[in-house]
Amino acid sequence: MFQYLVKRLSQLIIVLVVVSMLVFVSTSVLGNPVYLMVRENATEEEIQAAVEYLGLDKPLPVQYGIFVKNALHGDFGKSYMYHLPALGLIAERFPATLEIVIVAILLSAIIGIPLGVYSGAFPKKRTSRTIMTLSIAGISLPSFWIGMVMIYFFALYLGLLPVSGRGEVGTIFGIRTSLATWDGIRHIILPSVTLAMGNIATIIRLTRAGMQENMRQDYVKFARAKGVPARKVLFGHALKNTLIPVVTIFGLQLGSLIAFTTITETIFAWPGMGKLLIDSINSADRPIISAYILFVAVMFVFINFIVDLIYTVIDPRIDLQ
Amino acid sequence: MAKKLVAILLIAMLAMGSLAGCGGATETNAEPAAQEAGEQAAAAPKEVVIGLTGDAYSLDPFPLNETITNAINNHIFNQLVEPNADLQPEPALAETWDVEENGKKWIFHLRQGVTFQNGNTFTADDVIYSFDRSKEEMSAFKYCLSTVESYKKLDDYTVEVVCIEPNALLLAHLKDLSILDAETCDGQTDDWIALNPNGTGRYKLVEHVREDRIILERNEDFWGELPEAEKVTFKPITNESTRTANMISGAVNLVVDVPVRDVDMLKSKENLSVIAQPSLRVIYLNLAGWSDTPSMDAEMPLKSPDGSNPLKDIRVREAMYRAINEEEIVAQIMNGFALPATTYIPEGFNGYNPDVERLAYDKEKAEQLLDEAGYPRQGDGYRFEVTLDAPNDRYINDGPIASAVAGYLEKVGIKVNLNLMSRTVFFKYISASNKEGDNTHLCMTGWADSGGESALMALDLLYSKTQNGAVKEGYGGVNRGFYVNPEVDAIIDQAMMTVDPAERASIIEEAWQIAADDVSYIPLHFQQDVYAHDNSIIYHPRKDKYVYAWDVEFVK
Repeated sequence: MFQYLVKRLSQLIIVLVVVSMLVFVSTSVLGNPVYLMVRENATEEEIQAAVEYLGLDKPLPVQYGIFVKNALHGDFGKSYMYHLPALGLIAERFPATLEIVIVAILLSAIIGIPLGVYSGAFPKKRTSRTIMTLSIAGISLPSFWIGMVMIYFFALYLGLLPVSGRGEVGTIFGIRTSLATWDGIRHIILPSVTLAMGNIATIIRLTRAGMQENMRQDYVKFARAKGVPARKVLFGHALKNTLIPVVTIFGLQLGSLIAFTTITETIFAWPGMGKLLIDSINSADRPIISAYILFVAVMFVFINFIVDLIYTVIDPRIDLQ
Repeated sequence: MAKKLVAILLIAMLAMGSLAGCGGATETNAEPAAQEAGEQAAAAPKEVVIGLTGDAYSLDPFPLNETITNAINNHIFNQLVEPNADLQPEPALAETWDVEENGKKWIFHLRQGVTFQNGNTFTADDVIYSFDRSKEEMSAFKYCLSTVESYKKLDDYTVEVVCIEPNALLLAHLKDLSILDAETCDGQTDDWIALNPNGTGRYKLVEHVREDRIILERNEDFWGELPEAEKVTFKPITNESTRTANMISGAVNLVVDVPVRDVDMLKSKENLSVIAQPSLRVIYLNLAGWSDTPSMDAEMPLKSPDGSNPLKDIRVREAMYRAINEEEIVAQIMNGFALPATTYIPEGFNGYNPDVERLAYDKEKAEQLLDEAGYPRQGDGYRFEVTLDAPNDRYINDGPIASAVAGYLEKVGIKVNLNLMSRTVFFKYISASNKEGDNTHLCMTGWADSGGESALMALDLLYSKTQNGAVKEGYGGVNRGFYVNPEVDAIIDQAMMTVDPAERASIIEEAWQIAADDVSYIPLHFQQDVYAHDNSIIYHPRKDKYVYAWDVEFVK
C-alpha cells in the first residue's frame, strides 16, 4: 500500500512538471494579454509599464522559474483581469461546478446502469432496441444543441424551469450549495441533465456490452440452473463482473466533467470553473489558465487513484502492487 | 485485511473531501445570504433585472478599463464630472471649475455635503487620494492624468490641477477617474478595496456572486437626483441565445447585445420591445499610404509590379474606397444593424463635420482610377497585391466583413491575402506603437471613443505618426496607416488649446474635411447596439453602451 502511494505520488510530480511546462509555453505563444489590458491608443511607456507589471519582460525560462517558485508556495499569481489570486478564483467557482457534476454523475449511474443491465440481459426485446437507439442519439448530439433545446422546451415552451443561472444558494452541513433550496434545485436540473446526457448513453452501452458477454459465461448458466433468482443473477453475478470498465469510465467522466463543463456552463450561465476557463482563454489571462490546468492534472491523478482503490473492492483478485 | 484498509482509506478521503468543501464554503460565506435579498425583493416594487454579456471583473474601479466593469462601478462611484447623454462633461463631484491660461491650470470647486456610503464626508483629500491611486502600477487609468504636471489641495473643497501644456480637454479624461474614500481605502490592500466598494454613487452594493449576479440598492443619501429603480440586479449571461431565452421567459427586464437573428422573433412578442442605438464604434480600414516602405520586415509584404507603394497615390486610395459596396455589407452582413460612416466621428460629438460625405460606390470609376494611377491589370489579371489584416473575434461580424472587403478589392484587380486572426494576437501584430511583429500596410480595425469630443479622436487617429514612432509623444497613438499631414497636426494642436467647445468644434471640423479629402482611411460603418426590454420599462440607451439603472424608466 505504502509503496503504491509513493509510486502514485512520484507519477503526480512528473505529470505536474510536464503539464506546467506545456501550459507555460502554450499560453505564452497564444496571445498577448498586454494589448488586451491597456487602452488601444496606449503610448509605448504605458505598454512597457504593463509588460513590466506583469513580469513579461523577462526571458521565458526565467518567467517559468519564477512561476514554479511561487507555485510551490501555493501562489499562482494574480489574474490579469480580476486582479485577485488565481487559485482563489478557481476555488471560489469549484463548488458550483462540483454540484452539477455530482448530480450529472448520479443521474448517469441511476439511469445508465439499470438500462444497460436490462438491454444487455434482454437484447432482443423491443424496449432494449429503443434504449439503444436513444443512446446513440445521446452520444452523438452535441451538448450545446441539447442545452438550447432543453431551454426552449422546459423553460420557454412549458415554462416549468428557469432558463439559466444558479438560483438561490443554501447551506447543508456547512456547505453552500444550490441543492439546499428548492429554487436552487430547479436551476440545477437542466444543466446537469444536459451534462449527463452523453454519459448516460456511454454507460448504457458499456454496461450492455459487458452484460451480454457475461450472460454467455458458464457461471451465469450454472447459477440459473441451480435456481438463483433472475434478479440476483443479473445484479449479483453478471453486473459485478461488468463493473470494472464501467468504474474506469466513471472516473474519467467525473474528471472531464469537472474540468471541462465549459459549454454547458456557458449556455446556462452557470458560475462554475469551466466558464472561468473559457473566459480566461478569451482574455489570455495566463495565471488562471495555468493554475486551472495544473489543478485539473492533480485532480485526474487523484481520481485515478480512487478508481484503483475501488477496483480492489470490486474485484479482490486485483492487487495494487 | 487489505480490503478493510482500503475501505478505511476511502472513508478518510470522503471525509477530507467534505472538509475541503467546507473550506470553499467559508469563502463564499462572505456574501450576505441570498434569502435576505429575496425578502427585500418582495418589499421593493421598483426593481429591474438586467442581462449583461459579462460580469464586472472587479469592484475596484482602477485596475481594469472595460465597458461592463466601468458601467457597474459607475453605479457605486462618482467622478469629478460625468458625461451627459451626449457625452459632454457635466458637474458631478466637482460643482464648478475655473480654467486659467488656455486650459493649463484648472481649479475645481468640489460639491459640499456629499457623503460616502459608509457615512464619511467627501473632501479634497479623497480627490487627491484617488488621483494618486490612478497613477499606481496596477492602475489602468494612468492616462487620465498623463497630461497633468501637478495637482494639489487648496482647501477642503478646492483642488488645483496644472497641466504640462494647455489641455482644453482635461475633463474628457477626468470623467473616467473614479473617486474613492481616502479614509476607507488608505492602508488597505488592493484585494480588500475590491471587495469593499464604498463610493458616493447612486447605488450601493448588496451582493456580488461572481459570474452569477450583482445586486445593488439605491443609495438614499445620494447627492443628486435619485434614480427611479430602487433595486437593480445585473446578471452576466455570456451566451447570446441564453440572453434571448431569459428575455422571453421574463427572468430579466432588459438585455444587451441581442443577436441580430433573434430580433424579429423578439419583436413578434407582444410584451417585448427591441431598440437599436448607433454605437460609438466605427469599423474602418487603415492604409499605409505615406511611406515608401509600407511593409517593413513583413512576412506578407505589399507587392506591386514596379516595387512602388501604390497606396501612396491618392487615386489608388480613392479607388479602393469606391470599390467597396458598404451598403451591401450593412444589408447582407450586418442585417441592417449598422450605419455607413463618413468619418470616424459619431454624429452628436463636438466637432462632428456634417459636410463630409461618403465616396459613392462605383466599381467602374475605381478601375479607371487604378489605370490612371499607373497600375494596370497584369497578365494574371491583378494590378498589385496587398495583405488585409483583420481580427475575427473582436467586432461584430469582423471576419465576414473583412472577407467581403477582400472580395470587393479583388473585383477591381487588387489581389488580397486575407489574414484573419484572434484578437489575442491581432492587436500585438498590428500595434503601431510596437516594433514586434509585422508592420501592417492594410488592416481593418474599430475604434470607439466615449469622450464625446472629436478633437480627442483626431489626436489619436489623425495626428502624424511614422513607422519609427510618434511625431509628438502621446499623439497619433492609433494612426495605424501612418498618415502624415502637418496641416492637420497644426489644427489639432490649436484645438487642444481652445477651451470654448463651440470654437473648438469649428476648428477641428476642418481637420476631418482634410483627412477625408486625403482618403487617409476608409470608413466602413458604425455598429449598432441592440437592446430588448419588456414593456414594464422604457430604456434610454447611451451612446457609450454603458448600461445604467437610471436610464430605466418605469411605466406606470
